[in-house]
Amino acid sequence: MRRSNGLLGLIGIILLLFAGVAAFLTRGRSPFDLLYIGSHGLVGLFALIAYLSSGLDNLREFVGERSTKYGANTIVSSLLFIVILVAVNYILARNHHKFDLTEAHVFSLSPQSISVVKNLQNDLAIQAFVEGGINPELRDLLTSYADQSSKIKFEMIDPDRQPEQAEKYKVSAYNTIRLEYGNETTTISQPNEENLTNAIIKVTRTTHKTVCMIEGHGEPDIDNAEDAKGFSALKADLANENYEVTKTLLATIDKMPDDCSVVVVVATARPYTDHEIDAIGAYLKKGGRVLFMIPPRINNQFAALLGEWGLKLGNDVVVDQVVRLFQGPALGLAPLANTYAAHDITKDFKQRTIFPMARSVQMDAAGKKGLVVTELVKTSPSSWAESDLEALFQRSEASLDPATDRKGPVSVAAVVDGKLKEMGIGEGESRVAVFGSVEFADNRNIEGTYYNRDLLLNTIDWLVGQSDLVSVRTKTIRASRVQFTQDQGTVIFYLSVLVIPELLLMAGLVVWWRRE
Amino acid sequence: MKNILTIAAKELRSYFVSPVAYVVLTGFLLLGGWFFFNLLARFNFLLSLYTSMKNPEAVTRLNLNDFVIAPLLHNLSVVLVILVPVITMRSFAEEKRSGTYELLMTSPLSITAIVFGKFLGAFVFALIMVLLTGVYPLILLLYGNPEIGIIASGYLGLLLLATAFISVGLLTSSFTENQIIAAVSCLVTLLLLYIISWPADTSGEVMGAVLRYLSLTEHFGEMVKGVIDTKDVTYFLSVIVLSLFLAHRSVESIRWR
Repeated sequence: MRRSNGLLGLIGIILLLFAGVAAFLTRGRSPFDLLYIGSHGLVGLFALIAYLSSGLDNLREFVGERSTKYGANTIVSSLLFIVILVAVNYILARNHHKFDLTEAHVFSLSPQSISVVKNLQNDLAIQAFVEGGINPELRDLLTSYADQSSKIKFEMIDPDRQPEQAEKYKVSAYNTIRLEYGNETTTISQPNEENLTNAIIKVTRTTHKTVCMIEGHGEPDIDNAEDAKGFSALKADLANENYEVTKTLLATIDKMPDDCSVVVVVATARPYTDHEIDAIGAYLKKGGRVLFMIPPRINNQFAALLGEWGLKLGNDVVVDQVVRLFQGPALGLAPLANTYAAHDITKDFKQRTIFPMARSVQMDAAGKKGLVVTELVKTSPSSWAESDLEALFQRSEASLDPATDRKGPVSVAAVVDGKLKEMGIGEGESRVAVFGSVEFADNRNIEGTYYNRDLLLNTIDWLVGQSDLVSVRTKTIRASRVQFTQDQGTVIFYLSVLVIPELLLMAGLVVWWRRE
Repeated sequence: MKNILTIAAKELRSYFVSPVAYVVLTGFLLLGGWFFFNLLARFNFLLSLYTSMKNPEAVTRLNLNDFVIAPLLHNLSVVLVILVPVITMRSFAEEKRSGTYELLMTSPLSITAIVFGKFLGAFVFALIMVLLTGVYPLILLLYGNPEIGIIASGYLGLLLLATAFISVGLLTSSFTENQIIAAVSCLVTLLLLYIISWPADTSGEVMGAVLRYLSLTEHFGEMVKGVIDTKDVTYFLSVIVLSLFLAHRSVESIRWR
């Protein structure tokens, strides 16, 4: 066999190899890829054929050689061995077992989460929208869920690279996790084990929950997506959480419908009839759940009813003029809030919410038994509750008058948990939430910059009472310390940095010296 | 078995009679000590910083495992990528160059015994390297209260990693009689295995999973975190077994080439 011929064969193999690598890595996307792969493939193949056909003798001689046989044998047995190893790895990777040696079992799911996951009947798809599609901690967490059940499939999505997915599922913020179970879906924005497990409980529960919006007084329309003051965005968000939203004309029926999980009362300039207010009161006394949104300058028909439940509405408007420097109307009528009470609704909630045109909502439960009242949201210390409404709206003037106005922080939302037995009116519990603003929930503000949506959905979830949700303590590696004196520190330095390497070096020198 | 032990002992002795072993060990421990002491100093600095800032949340997150042991083990693994090829490059290449390979091949020893003996010798050397760094966690245990389970799992990971590196080094050394080529090709292979998962998050689902599975760092990282997964152990054992099998085939080829 001539040497140049052998070189031709080798070059052919190298060209084919590089063509293969290029094809694997680029998958032939651009014309340049095709040019590179095509030219290398063709030339390589040509060189190889030329080498093999440069003389049938060459080929016959090559095939006949003893080394060719052994070489082929080695290649085949090596390939076979690799195939077996790949298969073993594939099987063992799918049937693996994890030993979590951390003291708090940080990388294992809690027993509550495992039992929830093990009870899954259908496939659960999880999509995690994270920045750049990369979030190792979240991936670890989702992997631990997927490890527990083959029914769970998750994918990490970069909303910037796959905007169509974000668009499709209406995801607008990073770290949004969407869960889909059959026809039910839900999203969470603070991915941790507790929230994920509770979200799984939510989507797997089949009972339907109905939000009844009282209408007949010019309330914001839940079907009008064009109007910035409409409530269609709220309806869509609730639908996403498996709530059915219906309009209820309370004036024409004798009592609140039985299938309402929660009733939403939006106060407008047009008054409620006594019959309606009585029906709401009666509903509450039978363990009902009501969300009130009552803006300023509305004739306060609900004062007596809310008084019974330990709440008082201020006849005022909350003003925060610091905000004016950055945004909002010149008078400061859209205060921001980021102070929240310790409550299930606002647990771990740190985001800012905006309360345009809001009145104060205060606790007034002194002497009333069985009521747990929480002032949920407070505006900043620079705000105040302006009571001179005439000056505010006629002359567009607002100033803090210590005699009549209340200095901030001002509570603009409050919730009540009423134990009916302790109140002496029956069994079970009733829940009331009151927000001193309507605009905070309209289309403009619920999907805007602030986290009104999350606050409102949390409130409705709490009103409905997700009693079977679990609480999972966040697990971390135990905090540990090290303590040594200055002298001990010196010893550690000498021992770790200097002495051991020094001894090894000496030993080496001695060995070298003796051998020399 | 006796043959294997004889070869292993001879191999180990050959490391320690040449200066290479001492240079490698000194370098490894020097770097390790420097990493350890500075990580410990940084830990104490952070502790006093957070305490003075009255940041109780951050203080409860401070722990020796995450802030000292984990970065230390990751740094040591990178040093191993560079040092292991230096240890293993001579194993077969040196014998080929100096002519003792012929003697070895014509001796009554089986090829399995030769390959496994050399592997065992190198493994004991790696074990010594890893054990010597055990002085750092011992210091922490003496003066502090790190979680011992995480340390154990991390050290098991480091040992498996070093063993896998060593078998890859034996394999590349068996291909050539040039020690530089043996060392460089081992280094390149190890680095490739180290960084192969970098594009995983941005490539397709299947491709990403494959790249992630092939990566040494992914499996090692799990063990450093304190999780021993049979999947990760399987991976390391596979790399070791495959490298030794291919080295066996490569050594055997001299008989028919």
